Amino acid sequence: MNIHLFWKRRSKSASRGSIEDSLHRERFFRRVRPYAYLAPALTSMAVLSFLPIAYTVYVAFTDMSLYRFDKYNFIGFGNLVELFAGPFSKVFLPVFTWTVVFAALTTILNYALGLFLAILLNNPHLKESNVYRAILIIPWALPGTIAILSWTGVLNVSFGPVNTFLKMMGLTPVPWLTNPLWAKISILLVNLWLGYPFMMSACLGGLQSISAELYEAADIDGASSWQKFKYVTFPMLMRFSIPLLISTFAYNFNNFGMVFLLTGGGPPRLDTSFAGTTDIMATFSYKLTLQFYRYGLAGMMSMVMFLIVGTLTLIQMKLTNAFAEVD
Amino acid sequence: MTDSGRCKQAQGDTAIIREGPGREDLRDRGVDKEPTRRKAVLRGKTRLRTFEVVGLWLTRVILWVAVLASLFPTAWVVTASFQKGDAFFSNTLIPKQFTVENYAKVIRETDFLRWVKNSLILCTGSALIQVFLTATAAYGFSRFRFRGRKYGLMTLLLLQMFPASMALVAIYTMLARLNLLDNLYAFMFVMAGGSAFNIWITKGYMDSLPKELDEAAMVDGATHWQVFRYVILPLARPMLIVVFLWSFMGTYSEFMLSSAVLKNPHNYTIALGLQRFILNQFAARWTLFSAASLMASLPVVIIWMFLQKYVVSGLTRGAVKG
Amino acid sequence: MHERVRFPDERAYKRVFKGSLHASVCITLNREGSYLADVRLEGITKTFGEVVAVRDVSLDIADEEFLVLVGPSGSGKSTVLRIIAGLEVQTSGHVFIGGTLVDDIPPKGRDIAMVFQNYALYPHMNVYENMAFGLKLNKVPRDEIDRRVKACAQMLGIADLLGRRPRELSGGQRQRVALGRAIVRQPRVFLMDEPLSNLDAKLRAQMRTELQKLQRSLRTTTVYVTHDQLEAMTMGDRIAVLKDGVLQQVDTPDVLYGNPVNMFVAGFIGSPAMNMIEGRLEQREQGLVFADGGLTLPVPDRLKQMISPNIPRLPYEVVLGVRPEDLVGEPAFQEAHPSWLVDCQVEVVEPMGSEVYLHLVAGTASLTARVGPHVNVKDGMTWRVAVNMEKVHLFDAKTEMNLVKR
Repeated sequence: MNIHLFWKRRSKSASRGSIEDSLHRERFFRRVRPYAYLAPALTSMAVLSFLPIAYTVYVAFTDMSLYRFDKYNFIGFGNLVELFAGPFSKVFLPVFTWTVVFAALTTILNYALGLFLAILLNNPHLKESNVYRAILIIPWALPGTIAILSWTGVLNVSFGPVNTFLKMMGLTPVPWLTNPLWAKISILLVNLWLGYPFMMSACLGGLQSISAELYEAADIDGASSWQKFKYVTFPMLMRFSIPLLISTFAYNFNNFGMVFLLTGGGPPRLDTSFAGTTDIMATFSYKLTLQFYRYGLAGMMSMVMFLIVGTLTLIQMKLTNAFAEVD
Repeated sequence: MTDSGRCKQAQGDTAIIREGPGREDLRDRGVDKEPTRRKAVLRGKTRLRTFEVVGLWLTRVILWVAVLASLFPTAWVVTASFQKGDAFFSNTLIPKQFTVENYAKVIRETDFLRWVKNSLILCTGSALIQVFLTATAAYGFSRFRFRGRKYGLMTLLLLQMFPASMALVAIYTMLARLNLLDNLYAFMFVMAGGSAFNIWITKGYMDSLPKELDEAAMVDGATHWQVFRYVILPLARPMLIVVFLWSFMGTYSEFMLSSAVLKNPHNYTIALGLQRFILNQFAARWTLFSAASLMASLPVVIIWMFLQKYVVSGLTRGAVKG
Repeated sequence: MHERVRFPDERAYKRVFKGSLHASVCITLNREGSYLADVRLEGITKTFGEVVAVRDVSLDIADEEFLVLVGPSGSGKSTVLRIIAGLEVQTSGHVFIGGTLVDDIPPKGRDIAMVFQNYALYPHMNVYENMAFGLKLNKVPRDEIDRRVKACAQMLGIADLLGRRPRELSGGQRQRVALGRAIVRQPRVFLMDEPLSNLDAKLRAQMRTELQKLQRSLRTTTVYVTHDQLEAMTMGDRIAVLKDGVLQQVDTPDVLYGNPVNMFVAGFIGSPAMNMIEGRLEQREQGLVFADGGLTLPVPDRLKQMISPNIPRLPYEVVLGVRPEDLVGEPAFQEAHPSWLVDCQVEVVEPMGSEVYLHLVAGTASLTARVGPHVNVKDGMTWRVAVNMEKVHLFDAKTEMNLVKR
């Protein structure tokens, strides 16, 4: 083995030293480099998120509207008072309540169904579990907008297949999207259909991350199936479920597309033309902005929504210790 | 596929995301664990007690119902798309005559192909930009220490919780001032805006790549950019695929902003076009709508099925970490 | 020994200058005309927040030398290596490589190669790509890369693995690839951070000799970090012992073993470790003696002369250090030195094959003796041993410094 031949030692290129200039440059780069990597993302966020937010906050403290577009006044927290205590509260408070109820109910329903199916699918004796999983996950794979638009057809009162089916069974058809109560139920159902696959997948992932040894230990300790669920599965699941629940709640709090595309906020309310019976805050503020040009009110409503969702997110970050590793 | 195979696959999937490549030691440990689990499964399979058999069949029945319920609307859309006639007034769930006329009509009589083209340009472009923004920023947060690192990302995450309905006005005004309304390419950049969530989850993934790899590359003569380009990017690919997919699907389904900005039917995306389908001249022509929405969904569903394992594990990881 | 010269070749100058932000006009050549690659640390200190990882380390590593940095975990040895590599920036002090100040030069510009403890092979590249990566980054022509990678793979016996991914390799093979990746670069300095610690014992011994052979033939300056004193003793031209970030002693293995500067080095180098007996030096009727609770040993004249300048008063608190092989059981030796005899209780007999370790108790002190394989001793029996007082060390009990200078 002729290492020496191979090793034409250090006879080429290789050596470097320093020049004052490049040293200064290197020191400068060391400080600036991280920001250079962040710059593209931060710039786009600044333009597309922060500027609009600043604008919204600014507008929220004015009475800007179509008629006062250029000569608006600053009215402090006037809009907030108007929303919760003024004449407008009659319009707003039902919307506020429904938003909270919708977000809470849909989160609970989706989670319950998702967890239930995940537990069923996680049965080790169920050989064809994979097939079910692949089918059950389909609603998640469909583009949301298209799926919701299709649902308007499926739930159509006169020719929708659901009512057709009910008629075939000899039952009375249901006024799905036209009756205030049924419209709300429809929204919850469609959102359940769209949302359970995500919950199911997340729960399944959580279930499978529980070590089999824990169950074996429980077996040896003589635990029944129910006891195993109660003392092993459930506590382990809760560890990642709580952040999942909070983020789902926050997401649905702002779930514009669901309501806007399925019912458009309708059916209309008798006492006001501003909001429909199923309008949530996201669709309501959209309408206030684009149909009624009440910019000030809509801006303040956005801030209220942000405060609620932001607080929840903060709590979630605390709970998960998400930023403990960043120091 | 057998049970043990399934477990193995699932474990493997999560391993990809959670540990990241390069963590051979962790991977090995994961492999070591597997026989235990497989043994447990096999042991159970050999001797099923009566109540377990009953439970198993109960499980199956419930799952069949769930499968039927989840397929029902999709199945209706599929049958409707093959139904003769414009409207779908039928007393049966299964049509008597099948026809592909609806599909032909959608392509002939509407701008469907243009919508698809617009959507693909818009989604691919903005998803690519999104991936670039996410990858660079995540690298920055993962590999450098700098002022504002600790609370920067948290603040960004919080701020992005701000509802978009008002941002709409600001963005609309901005685009109008710049005379960029109804411009597909300008809108592409609007849709590509950096997402703190994507950055955060990708940063988490990059954190799991051993730092020695960067150092080895630096000693090998790489600049920071080369470390990013040749080491981190290829290794973070699974996560970046997920980001691409989320971004792509998000834009594909986006409705609120695009309906405000894109007014010219020439610039309609699929979501916009399909909604106008129902509202405007094709009102209640469900058979046509069904055909169109099926064609529109199919490519996304196919891509999604292929990349599903990344998405599921990536999301699980995101959910677990919050 | 060497002189500073201007870059000899205009074209080479331009290439280097263009290729690197940190190119130098002034480089150093040794007599044979190749670039000198000595490493020099001047007063290196590194703090992480409140913690001082390295304190005022100054070290000269000669061209072509194999220097081992050894110390227990947390002694700062890896930090020193990473400072030389440029992966860590020192808080104060200077680093020179080949006579050039490199404090502000990133690793890229230092012309070094490093082997990591867990190899840090790029998982997405195969073996060939792993080895070629650094050359590619340095814009070496493709055929040159090919030639070098193949020659190097041949040399390391991994030529048939070039198409494989790191995860398809065994630990030993990964180790070789990591070495190969460093060697193909033909750097000025090799930096190795515990490269053998992830291998099993047999492979480690084998790689140890191979590494040594390699370094001897490549003659590349090497800085090698390990916590294993055996590796340090067998491999290093010189060994630098670190403790709590402070450099204790730098010298050849022989000197470190025979003449450690303090108790730490004495205890760290050598296996089984040196026996330490606390006691004091006293003046008795038979002369200067070392005494602890149970035993009294006379200090021979030669030793006395060596230590007397360092001892301010008597009696004086000291620690007596005896290497296990200096506890002698041979009758001939014992007869010659009757005053060095100590009666011990045998606690455990540890046969190692070629030799036997005896764990003994003498009074309050526990001792380990290394004796030949044929000694006839059993657990629990009393055994008489001679302490070879010509070879013992005496440490100041307070400062822990060695009072004996041989």
